[in-house]
Amino acid sequence: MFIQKKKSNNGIVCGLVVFLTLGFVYGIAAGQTYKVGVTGPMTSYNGVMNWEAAVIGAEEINKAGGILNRKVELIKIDTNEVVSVTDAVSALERAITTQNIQAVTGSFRSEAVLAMQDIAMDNKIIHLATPAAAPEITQRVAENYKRYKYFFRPSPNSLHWVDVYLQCAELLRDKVQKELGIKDAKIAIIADKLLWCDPIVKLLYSRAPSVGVTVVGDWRVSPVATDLTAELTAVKASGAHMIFAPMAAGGGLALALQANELKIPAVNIGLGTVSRLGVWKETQGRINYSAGMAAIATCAATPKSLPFWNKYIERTGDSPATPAATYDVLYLLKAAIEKANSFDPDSIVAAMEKIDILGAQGRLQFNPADHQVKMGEGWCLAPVVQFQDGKLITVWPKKYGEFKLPPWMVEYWKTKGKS
Amino acid sequence: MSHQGNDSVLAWNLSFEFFKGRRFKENLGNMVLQILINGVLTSGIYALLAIGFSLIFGVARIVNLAHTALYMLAAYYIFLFGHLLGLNILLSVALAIFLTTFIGMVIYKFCIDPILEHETSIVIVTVSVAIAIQEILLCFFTGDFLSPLPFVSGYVEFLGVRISAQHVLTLVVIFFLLLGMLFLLFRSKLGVSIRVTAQDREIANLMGINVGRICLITMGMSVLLAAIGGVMIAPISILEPHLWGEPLVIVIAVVVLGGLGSIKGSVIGAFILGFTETLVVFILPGGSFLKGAIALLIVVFILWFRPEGLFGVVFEEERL
Repeated sequence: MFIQKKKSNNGIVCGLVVFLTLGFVYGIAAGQTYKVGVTGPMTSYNGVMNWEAAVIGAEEINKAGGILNRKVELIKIDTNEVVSVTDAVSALERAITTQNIQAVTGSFRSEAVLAMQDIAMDNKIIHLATPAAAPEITQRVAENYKRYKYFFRPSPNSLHWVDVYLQCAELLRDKVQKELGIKDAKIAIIADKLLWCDPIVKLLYSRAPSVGVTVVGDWRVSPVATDLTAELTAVKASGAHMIFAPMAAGGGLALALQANELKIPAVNIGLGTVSRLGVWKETQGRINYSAGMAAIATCAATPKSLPFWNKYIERTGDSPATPAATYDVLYLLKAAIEKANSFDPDSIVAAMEKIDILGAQGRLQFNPADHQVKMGEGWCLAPVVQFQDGKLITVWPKKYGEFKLPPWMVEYWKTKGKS
Repeated sequence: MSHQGNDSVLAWNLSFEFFKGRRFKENLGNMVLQILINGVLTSGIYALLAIGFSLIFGVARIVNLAHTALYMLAAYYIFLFGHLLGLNILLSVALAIFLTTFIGMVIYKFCIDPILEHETSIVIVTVSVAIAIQEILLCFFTGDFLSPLPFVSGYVEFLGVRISAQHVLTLVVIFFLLLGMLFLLFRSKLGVSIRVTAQDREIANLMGINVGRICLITMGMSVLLAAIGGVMIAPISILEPHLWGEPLVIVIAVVVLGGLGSIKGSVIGAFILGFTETLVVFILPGGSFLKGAIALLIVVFILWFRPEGLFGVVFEEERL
């Protein structure tokens, strides 16, 4: 009788199991990404700019190998923040719970950022909101570090805009004296009735005399105002030579258009609304001589500024404005995570506080006390640009270019106006 | 007088140069003139919007909350045809007015007419239509702020006050439109039918007036007025899909203030609100954002003393 031994297949089975296990583990590791949510009103240019700039940053980083071998995955979060802060909060909550985002950036409406900040902090999400500018946002970090330490602001706040406005006031004061013979330059302020504008108005009044100019009045308009004819008529009557217009909504565009239409004899300096190249084409040049504050301009704040500027125009057909700071946010995250060698939020926070990198906006370093990026020349710059006959010229800092007074302003003050 | 620089809601900013010393009288005179001119501008625009709203309410008892959404639609049409497609101005205006009126009539036929007897339902349906128009415009034009080209550029200087040429054109159109409306309502057979229907629909019916047809024609006129308003105001405004909300509140306030269904009341109500807003901008510039709220407070104040509005009727039966 022969006993037939069964051939053992154990080796094959074991090998298969090991192979499959290794493959499974590799598959998971290869599929892991670092998820970054990008918030903003995605139906308008503010949100679109937040998104497109972030995409450029993510693509560059992923092409170079990602962050600690993980690809950056961007999640678009439409907050509808212009209409509803509640919608913004719901959108972020949904992204955190369903998409498991690990960091979030974007948003320009400070009221919405304040609300979303708490949601992010509850979930220990690294939150780098930009370009929302209210100082209250980072003040929370200073007042309650333990809770709000995951928040950083990688772009200028309202206080920086005040410094910039005053430096522009000095430049324009000298210009009107030289070209028009006017010795006491005057400023009118037309500002949105929004949180981020409050400190700007207050500080301009108190600090304007220190640069030799007078604030003759302020007009606080509804964020949904679209006809500023009455306000501009009043500004003209006040004898102002400069109009400082911190307005982030449609009012900024309305101001630039209507000031041009009525030939108000003053230089108007707004914000991001009039600092994009695309606005010239959209308005068919009806905003000539209007100025605005940009995040990035053709002045090469750093070696990264111009390449990003060109890449953004190539991708979208328009130039980057203040919301495009999300490009720098991706690199800040990369630098902090690699410095910490970890994706742990607390480790990232500790590393981010010590970060010092060159971004498209300028040199980026955070104040450890309130996590506000350092601002001004030599740091996060936020230059001022002015449309001059179709070209977007950097007029502040003054080393890059010069303000041009509108011809109707020159004519008015030379022939009719007396200070 | 130096300003203390506070951001309280009722900050009185009185540091204007023209309040100082020897130039006081000259500057006060200038300010009064500016208030008058800007007041007329604002009031004219409100009157145009309010008359259409009041007309359809007076005749058909329809509270058409999509009225300002249709005005916004016309504004976007002007942007589309004039600015994006580069069509001739007159053609763009004609197309915008025609299309908006057509859409308004379609909305009336399919959304409002079937539920004409249910006034509350009409309110809900018209709000829904307004939101639908908003969302459709959001899809096609995004939420970006848009600015159509003005029909006429530049400005006119009147007694030292600058008014954009587009504003002047808008006022002229509004003036002739109002005249035309008055002529139609008080000098034509159609106008008589409309006024009779507004007074008493049952009697109008008994007198042989086709009430349904009159309601349809009145709706058409109402939408036409909204369309003309949108077309004329678009170049002096900034378009975005939520534009319809704020003017709706003002229009309702104007119509209620003037007396529901009273055309004359709507015009006077528009002037009261328009001048109130202008006064706030000039006298309380730091509180310019409150101009709408203060104007509405005035409405509430007047309604305390005259709940039916300035030219409204106390009892339904007395409607004139």
